[in-house]
Amino acid sequence: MSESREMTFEDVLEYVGRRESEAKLEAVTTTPSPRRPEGSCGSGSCGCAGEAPPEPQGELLEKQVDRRQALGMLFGAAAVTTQAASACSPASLVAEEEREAKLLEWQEYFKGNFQRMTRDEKDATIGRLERLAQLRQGVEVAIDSTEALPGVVYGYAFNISKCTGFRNCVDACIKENNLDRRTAAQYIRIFEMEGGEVDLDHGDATFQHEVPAEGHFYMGTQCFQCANPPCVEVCPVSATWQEPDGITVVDYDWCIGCRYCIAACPYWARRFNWSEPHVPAEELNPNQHYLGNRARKDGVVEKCTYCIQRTRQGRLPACAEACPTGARVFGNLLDPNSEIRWVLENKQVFRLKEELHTEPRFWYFMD
Amino acid sequence: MRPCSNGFVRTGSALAVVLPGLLLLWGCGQELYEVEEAPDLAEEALDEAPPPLELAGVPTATVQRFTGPGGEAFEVTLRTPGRTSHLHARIGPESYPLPLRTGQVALSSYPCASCHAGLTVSSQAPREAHDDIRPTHPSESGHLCTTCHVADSVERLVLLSGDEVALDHAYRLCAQCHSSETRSWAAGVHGKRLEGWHGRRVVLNCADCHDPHTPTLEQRIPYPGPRIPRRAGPEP
Repeated sequence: MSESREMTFEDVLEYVGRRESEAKLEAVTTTPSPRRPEGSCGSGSCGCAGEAPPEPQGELLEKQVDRRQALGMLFGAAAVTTQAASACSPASLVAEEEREAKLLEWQEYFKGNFQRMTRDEKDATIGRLERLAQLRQGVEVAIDSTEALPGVVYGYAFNISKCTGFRNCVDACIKENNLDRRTAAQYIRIFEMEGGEVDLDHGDATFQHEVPAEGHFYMGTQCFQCANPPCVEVCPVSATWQEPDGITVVDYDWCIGCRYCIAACPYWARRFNWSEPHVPAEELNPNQHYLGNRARKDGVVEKCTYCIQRTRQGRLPACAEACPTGARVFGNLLDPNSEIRWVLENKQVFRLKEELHTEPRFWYFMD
Repeated sequence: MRPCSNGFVRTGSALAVVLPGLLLLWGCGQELYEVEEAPDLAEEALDEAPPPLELAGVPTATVQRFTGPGGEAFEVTLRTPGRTSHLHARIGPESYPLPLRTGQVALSSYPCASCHAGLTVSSQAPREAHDDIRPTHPSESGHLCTTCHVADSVERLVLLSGDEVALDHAYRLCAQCHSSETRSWAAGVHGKRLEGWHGRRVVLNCADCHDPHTPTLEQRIPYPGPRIPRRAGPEP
């Protein structure tokens, strides 16, 4: 066993195919057990029983592989073997796809935190996710992992004199970010406020009448991408963090769903998936980002990312693009010629709950 | 100085007296806006552009124009102290991307002069022929049709100075009163960008969003709001 190449998944499959159910957790975490049950896959009816492996189990352990990787491969292989054993009949295309999907899902289950992945690992997981979307939902998606642009910190300004409460932004956000249609999840809240009122507790976000209503103004909230985000601080597993361009993102595959971040956010910006988000295939936005609008699972937290999949390509967030009144101004805070800087220099601006020192990168202004 | 198609001889200084609001943005680049001039104006105009007007404490600007590929594109370069921005205005609702289709070109299918040849624009509200026009803006502010339209050539607009501009440059007309809006518009804050947050700034003209005769947006029913608390509904 002097070969130095890294063990591939195929090696494991081959091995497990010979060893069948012998590939167990203890085989990896402890020293190789001398005990070897005489080969049978357990299902009994398979023709695969009785093929004794020519090599001892130790072969698996001598190859260069870390614990997480090994677990992923072993369990993945076990799942696939079980699946194959249950099929046993001539392999149909459906069974083949099911087998592949299961394999990919297992590999996904054992991947690392996105922040610590190498470029190759990122590409690998994106490849798996794209393939899984194809296998499971029959949709072609393109998942992007573009990193933060250098010299860019995003800022947002919201003109409370202009907003009329049409909620075009909300509609565009739902479509762009593949938000759950069944629970009608929305990142953006538009509060209808009495003239002169500034306390959002007295605002009504559920208005459903002709707008703009006389004597009222409208104030939109969403994630403010704080420079000092309390939600990031409380996360026990580092599943949420602030990117160099100021966007706070969530690794949906690392989140454990404890919802500390929801409790910590003073702006009600985060949303929890109590069930698996459902988006009809024909409405799915296929242009996705790993940290943005890709498919979420149940039991994880998600949030507005200033449409990371758009803004890192130089486009406007969907809400800013959809706004019919021009109340939303978006740009690069580090560019002295940007519109957002003009607002900060020339208009009276304020931020929500400034006394908390969360330093939101989202300003309100008036004409 | 050069005679224009309508016979006026214009200078920057004469306008400076008449249009203080306009001055804020466009200074004395007036003759650059004659859309109907010979196409080679573009090159000359860039060379002949007068220096920005200097006023103490007031942002100054120059306007430069060029003819875009196949259409009436124009680029406005604003220069305020310590700040340079590039504005590429889009003209007409379906003129994206270049080449631009201008409102002026569209008007050639419906030449106003075919009806208005022997008529002048009266001071009364438009009746049968223009029943789609609800002139709330002129009636509220006490304007007549001829405050903005040239009496014997309705598809052209007239500024308070007496200068005529094409419909495509209606923002110059609007800027005469709505100077603060125009200032925000030129800064990219009134209205919005169309192409993205960086690079060339593409914005809409005033009349692309506002009906000039009824500028206020109408009330309407908004898109659905949140369901609080969120509960799963039927399969969509």
